[in-house]
Amino acid sequence: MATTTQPAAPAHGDAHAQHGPELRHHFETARQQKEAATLGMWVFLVTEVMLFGGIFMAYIVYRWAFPEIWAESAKHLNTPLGTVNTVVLLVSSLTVALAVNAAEEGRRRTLLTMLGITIVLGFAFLGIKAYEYSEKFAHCSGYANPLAWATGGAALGETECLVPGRAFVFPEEHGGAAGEAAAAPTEGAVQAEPIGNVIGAAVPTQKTPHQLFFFLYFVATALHAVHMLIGLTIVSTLTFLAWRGLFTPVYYTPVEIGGLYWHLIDIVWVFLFPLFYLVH
Amino acid sequence: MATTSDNSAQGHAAGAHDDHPYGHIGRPTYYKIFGALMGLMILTVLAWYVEPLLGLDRLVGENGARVIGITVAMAIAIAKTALIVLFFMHIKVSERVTQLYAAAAFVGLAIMVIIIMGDYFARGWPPQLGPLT
Repeated sequence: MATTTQPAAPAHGDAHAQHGPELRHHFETARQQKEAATLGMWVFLVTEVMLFGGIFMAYIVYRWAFPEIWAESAKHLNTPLGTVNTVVLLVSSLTVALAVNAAEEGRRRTLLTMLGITIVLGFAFLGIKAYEYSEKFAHCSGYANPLAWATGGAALGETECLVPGRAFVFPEEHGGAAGEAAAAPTEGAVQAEPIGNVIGAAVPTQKTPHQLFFFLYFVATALHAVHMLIGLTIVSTLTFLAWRGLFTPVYYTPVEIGGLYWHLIDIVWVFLFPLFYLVH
Repeated sequence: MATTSDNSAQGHAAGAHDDHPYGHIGRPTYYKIFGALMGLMILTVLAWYVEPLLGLDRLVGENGARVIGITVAMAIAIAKTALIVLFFMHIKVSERVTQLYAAAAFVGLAIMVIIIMGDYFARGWPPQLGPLT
């Protein structure tokens, strides 16, 4: 039988005599324990896909309804920075995959290096994202860029505020509605607008549908950024555990399922990038 | 008692997998997949840049050009996702039940999109004709 090629079955009475301390006693083999953990992680990842799926669903419905609004709005996002962030995340996915590989083969130094690079790339992504956000907020405050906003420098030529809210002003390029756009920041006028108009039908001069694009942009990218923060916490913890020498070729499940989480964040960005930055 | 169950479990595991590490994908494969992902990323940005220059909107109308653009971008995004899920997330060498769960996420998404968009179409979406009732 199988016993001829396998070591004698461990008797659970004498604790960890036949296997390392990492094997919990309700599992029969380390392999079974790892499969259970991986499956559990995937169940969680399915719920994550559903969470982001709701936002993508809203995106599909409104882009279908307002294709030209989407095309005009997307021009105001910083596509070069979005592209750089895509590269940053793809490289970080590679380093995580290599980290899992290093853990699998018991190369601790490589594991630490790869996790370290991942952390740096994660912060680089968040830094670029923060710059993009602050650009939008600086425009709302009337400054040309975040640096000018901080130092009281150059003012923005036109009135523009792409952060959803009462102060939202989408810069009109067709001339006709320019006067109306300039009048919008006075709070009374905006407050007087019935809320129903926000999702209302396409009235030609109405600026509010643009807000839908930026609302979805901020919600989707902010939820993604929160996931990046969680992912960075996970990778930092893994780095600490790896530094303590917890992982061996027999037991590296935390690296594996932590890596799964990081790859999921990457996949979400793979869709967010073309859906918000590459629209026309 | 315990011995028999242990034996059967090990006999089960001793099949195809025990002679090599579980779920193993080599480093050269990771580098190749990364190269493919970067290539697809460049392709999607290039497509976005080139599409307006092709004059597609004169050929198939403005909405037709948009449909082509979205189709190209989504096809590339789905290809990237497939590469990441299969290789970086080890689904290609995972247990069948794990593969089933990974597939379930996308089947769930498809059901949501089909049912919701089906409902909107049945009510006369898109709403350029007026608000939904």
